[in-house]
Amino acid sequence: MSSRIFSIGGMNAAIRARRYLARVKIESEVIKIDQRYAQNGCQYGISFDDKDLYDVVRTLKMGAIPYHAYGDGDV
Amino acid sequence: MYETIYLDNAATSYPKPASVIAAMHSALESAYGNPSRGNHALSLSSAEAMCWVRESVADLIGLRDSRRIIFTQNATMALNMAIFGLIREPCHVLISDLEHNSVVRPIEELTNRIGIVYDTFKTEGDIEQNIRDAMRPDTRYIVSTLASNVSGRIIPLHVLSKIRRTYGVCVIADASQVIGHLQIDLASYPIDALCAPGHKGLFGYMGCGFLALGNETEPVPHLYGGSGSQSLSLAMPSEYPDRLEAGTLPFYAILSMGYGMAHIKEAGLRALAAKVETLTHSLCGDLAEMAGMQMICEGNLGIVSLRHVRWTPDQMSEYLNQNGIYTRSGLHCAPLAHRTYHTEKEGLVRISISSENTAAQIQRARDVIFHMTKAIK
Repeated sequence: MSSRIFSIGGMNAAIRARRYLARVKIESEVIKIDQRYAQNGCQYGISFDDKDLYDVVRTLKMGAIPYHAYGDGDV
Repeated sequence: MYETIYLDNAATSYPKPASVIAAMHSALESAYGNPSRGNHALSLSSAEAMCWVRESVADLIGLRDSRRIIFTQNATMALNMAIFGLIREPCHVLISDLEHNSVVRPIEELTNRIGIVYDTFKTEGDIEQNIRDAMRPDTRYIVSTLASNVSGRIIPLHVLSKIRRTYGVCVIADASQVIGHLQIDLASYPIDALCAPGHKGLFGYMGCGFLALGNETEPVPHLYGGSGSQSLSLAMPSEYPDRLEAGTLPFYAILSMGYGMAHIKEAGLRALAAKVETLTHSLCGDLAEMAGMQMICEGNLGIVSLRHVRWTPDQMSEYLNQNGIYTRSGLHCAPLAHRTYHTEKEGLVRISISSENTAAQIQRARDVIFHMTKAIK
């Protein structure tokens, strides 16, 4: 499976995002963003299956959860 | 040998519900790391647990955005964070005539630090009109308890929210005696900051509380330090709750608050409140008939304060203590409230009941108090 990573913010924010997605049955995993690419120090994000991309984007936007696509630019 | 009876639940609830104790036994035997401090499994699992508690608090009080629940060590810390973080310029502030020192002392400190001026509004009679009467053109903040820790008198959230909407003032509320007893609905009755302990009506262990912030409330941080996020920045992070949660949190106490809220959800807040009300009424009915007894009990929150013509409050509390009944005498850190009730000289004995108390315990407390009124000192 190919996966996507969204950078979310602190761990609190990333876990909240994961739990928010889980409520609509979207599986994701909290990960630490590689320090070399993290803006401003320690940063966390979510990793999820590429096939869920549009559902993830829609759900995060609905929940007013800010995210930043990691690697591929903004989604 | 008699059973000891704990009736000081307005200070901290005891015993905790069996489900909380069992869950905490299990938690203490489980492996947890420091939440938000690394991406290893133990840090993640504790951060998940904190997120669960945060969402439970938000759900309980009708706050849509759980990010704006800030964990603290107690209600006093939450009140300090709100008061010092929001009141930054000289202005007029209103507080109720029932405030605890957790409000009075920070407000008094602000008179010295930045020159605010404050007045009290009366809570007897029409509270809304009393607040309107006390408002000045330069009133910017109202800091008020939602219920007195001395009498249980309630200052309704909807009244404070209405005043906020009408006058555009910032409202900071102390929910110490109502959280877990009365339904708080910030979605219907928004205010700017709500402060509460986790170890009283929410049945957590001592060392936890929270500050709930309105969507546009932006207090200056009270503590500065590590948050586990945006570490390269020399300023506190901009995102909540990280912005206001510097340093390691009292994880286990906060977790216990989560289990306490699960108990409330399972049993039903209204059912638990009804039990407290029934026990309180049964105690008050008999106390009212005892010769020489003066009683203050308002609001059905399980708070009953007493004094007697022959016994000082300290003597009464000690008599009860010697009979295995634990109450609290004195001023209850609320000198303003005692002035309001004209009891500041000797104070009162406060009995505070929880849903974990039983009818048999209340019966025995009543019997012991009755014997005391007949006893020779």
